[in-house]
Amino acid sequence: MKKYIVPLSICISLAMLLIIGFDLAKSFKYNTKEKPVVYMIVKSSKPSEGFEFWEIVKMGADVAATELDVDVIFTGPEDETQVEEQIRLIRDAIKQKPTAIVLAATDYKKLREVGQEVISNKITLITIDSQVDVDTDHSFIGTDNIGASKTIAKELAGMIDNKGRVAVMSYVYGTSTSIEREAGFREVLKEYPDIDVIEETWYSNGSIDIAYEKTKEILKKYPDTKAIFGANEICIVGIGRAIEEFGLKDEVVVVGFDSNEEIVSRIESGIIDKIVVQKPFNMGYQGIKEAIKIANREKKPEIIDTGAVLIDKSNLYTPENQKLLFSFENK
Amino acid sequence: MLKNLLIKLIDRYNLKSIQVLITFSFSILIFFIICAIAFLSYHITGTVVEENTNEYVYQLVKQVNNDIDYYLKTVETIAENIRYNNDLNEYVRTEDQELEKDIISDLNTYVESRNDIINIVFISNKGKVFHNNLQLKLKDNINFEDFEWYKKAKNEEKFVVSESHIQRLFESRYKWVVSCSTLLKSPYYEENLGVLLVDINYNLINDMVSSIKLGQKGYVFIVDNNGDIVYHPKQQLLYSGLKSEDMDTILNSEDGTKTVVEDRKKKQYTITTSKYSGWKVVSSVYMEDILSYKPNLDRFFFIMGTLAIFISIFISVLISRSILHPIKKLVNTMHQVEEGNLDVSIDIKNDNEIGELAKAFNLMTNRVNNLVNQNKKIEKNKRKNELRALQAQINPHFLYNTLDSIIWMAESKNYKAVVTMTSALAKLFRISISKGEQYITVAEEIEHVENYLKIQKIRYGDHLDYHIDVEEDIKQNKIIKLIIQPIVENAIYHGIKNVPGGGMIDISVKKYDNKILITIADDGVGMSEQEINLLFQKDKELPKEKKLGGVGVRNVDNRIKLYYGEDYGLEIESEIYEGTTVKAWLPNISIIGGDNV
Repeated sequence: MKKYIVPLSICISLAMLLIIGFDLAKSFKYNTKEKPVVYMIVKSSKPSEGFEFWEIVKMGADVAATELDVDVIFTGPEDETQVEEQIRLIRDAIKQKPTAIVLAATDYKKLREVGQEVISNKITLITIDSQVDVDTDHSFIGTDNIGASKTIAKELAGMIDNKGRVAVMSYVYGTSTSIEREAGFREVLKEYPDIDVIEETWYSNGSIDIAYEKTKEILKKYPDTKAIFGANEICIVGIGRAIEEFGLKDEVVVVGFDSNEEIVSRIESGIIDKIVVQKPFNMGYQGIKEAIKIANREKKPEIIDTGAVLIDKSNLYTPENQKLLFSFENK
Repeated sequence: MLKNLLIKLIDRYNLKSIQVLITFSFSILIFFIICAIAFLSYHITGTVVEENTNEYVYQLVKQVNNDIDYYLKTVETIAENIRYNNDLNEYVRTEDQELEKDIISDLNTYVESRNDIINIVFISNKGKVFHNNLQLKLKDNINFEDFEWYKKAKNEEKFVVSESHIQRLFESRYKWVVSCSTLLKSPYYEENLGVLLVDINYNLINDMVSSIKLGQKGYVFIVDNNGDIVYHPKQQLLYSGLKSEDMDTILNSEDGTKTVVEDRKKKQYTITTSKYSGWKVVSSVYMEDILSYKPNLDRFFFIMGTLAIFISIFISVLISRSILHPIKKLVNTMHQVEEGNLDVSIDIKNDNEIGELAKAFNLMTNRVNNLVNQNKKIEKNKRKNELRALQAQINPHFLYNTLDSIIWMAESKNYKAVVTMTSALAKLFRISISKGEQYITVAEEIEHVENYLKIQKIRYGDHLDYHIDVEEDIKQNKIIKLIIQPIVENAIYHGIKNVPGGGMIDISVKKYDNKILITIADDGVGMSEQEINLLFQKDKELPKEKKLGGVGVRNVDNRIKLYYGEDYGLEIESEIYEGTTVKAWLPNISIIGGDNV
């Protein structure tokens, strides 16, 4: 048997090597196939009461994360005016070398530099809701803000019989969405000779109280205001509170973007007349999906319109709209 | 196909050696067997895993359905209890305003005792609305006929469970609920009391179902019997058209597992239907999740397979080597034998057929070797003995003595004796040369010895006497020549010469059975037993004084044995002072073919 020891040991060691090699290859495969990490940096991560938009975005992102087996880190400044804080958060995220960063930019221009940094670090950049001014092509998932604001402007014109003074309240100066919404709205109403849109734009700066105060300011300055346009949830809530307080629900038409329970309740009571509701859940969900697809080079960047729905008293409670208007998280 | 390929391979790489062939075919065979086994067991385990998973999922979903049924039954029990509520029954009949407060507090008891119930609302058949929570303000101008739960309860007169929806009866309060409603009939009199609404917190169902994890991506959802969604973890996506469930399959299938294709991926619905609520609890599991149990098996089978293949290669190498190594040795040795080297033997100690083969081979070469050696020895002896025979005939001593005697007789003018002696000497030499023939007739042999004796008789005179007796019918039989003369010479020199009174030599040639017996008897001094033995001992030098004669006798014996075999030869009987009788046994062959015996 002695003379077989050599071939035997060769055979056994070969087999061992193969098994160990296979194990190693397998563990390597797992290492490289580690869960991708995606940062989702939104405008506001600790929303004030009633400001649900970003929470729903997060819900959508979470669903996509489970579906795709991705780690999603959801973060953002406390409110949407804190541009510098958001830039800092993006820089922190870059350091972690994530697969992708999904960004809702608080400022179109100011975030240009940090946006370029994301791209130059070979991290996939996806924007949702609000775009950022970077040179490279990237996917944007959000509402067609210009289109939606044009639609609501046309609706508004009909409601005020194509004449009268209209005021515009936006939220943060410089954010792409606010620029687009305002632009689309003003553009349509220019074509109505009897409608006078006030040149000045008021800004809520992410605070319901400011929006409320500014509304009172508008109503004092222009008592003949026929309609007010609120460019986002916070503006609408503030406007709604002021109109209710002044008892002007029949005199002033209120239209705008986004909803929450308070807004729904004011639609029911006729204070707020028509709103455009976006699909934040879809932004979150599709934002993550798109990020993974682009990172895996499965498709080319593109602009995805998540769509928007016009809501008024008549269609508040259809099953589809219930889901859009009321989140489940109201325990 | 496979066979052809194998042959090609073998041709190309010169794999014809049996060792390679055995190793190769063994390994292939074992490899295929292992592959087949691994493949089969992989599939069987795969199927088993799949079946177990399906069964597990089905039980899970069924359990969820049972839990929900059980839960809804408890809600129905509440409705039943309220039906028997005395205050309520009393109020509907009398519309006694004082009962209102009691009714509200009764309703509130149920809500307070359970945190899963959000509101209880009772709408009496006269349109009066009671709800448990006074802090909530019912909206103005509510038309209950707008609500599905109200219409259904009233028209279908049974316990109705709605899909999930926002309860919008109250101002500034928007809760996701599942509404259970029923038409209350008074147990005491023939009248409907009104419609009772119990709103269950939607989060309860949410919690019941959303906590269920089925693999990485699997989930559970609930639809009612119209295909409307009661609960779905991705409801938003469904409404946005980003996701869809195959409602036709779900609604039209029996309970159990159904496979559908979504985004080119297979997924399995496991459907259970509640007989109580009509809801279908459906789980949706992705095939890749189920199959994710398989990689472990992959690895297991891979390791087992690799090990088995290596072991099989090793064993086949071992087997082929243990068989072929001795065969190779055998072949090499045979080559040596072929080249003429017979002094070889194979060292194979295996107890198998090859060991026996080697043993037989060793035995064979050994025998051949012995035979060859023997043959060589015989040939050598033959030559040596012939030479000696020749030497014996022309014994120079004898010739010298004879010639001396002739001279001496001539000087004494005994011419007659000279003539006799010379002619005898001539005859002696003629016969002994005999044209180089090895065989001569018995007559010639006798003539030869007679001439010899004639010469010796002249020399010894009365001291030597002889008598020859030959049977007539064997005289022409041939025998090898010069057998008798050396024995006679021996008898004279060692037997008679030393006897003072002289002696007598008696020679007879007789037929004895199939043999010829030549007897040479003398009455000389004789020999001891020891001396006789010494005479026949082969390869031993005789004592010097006996050499001459001894060699002659032994030579005769050797020659007889060489030409005729061991059955023939000399026998010596002797007694000291009595004489010696030498018997030469020869075969009785009338015609001898030649020299090549």
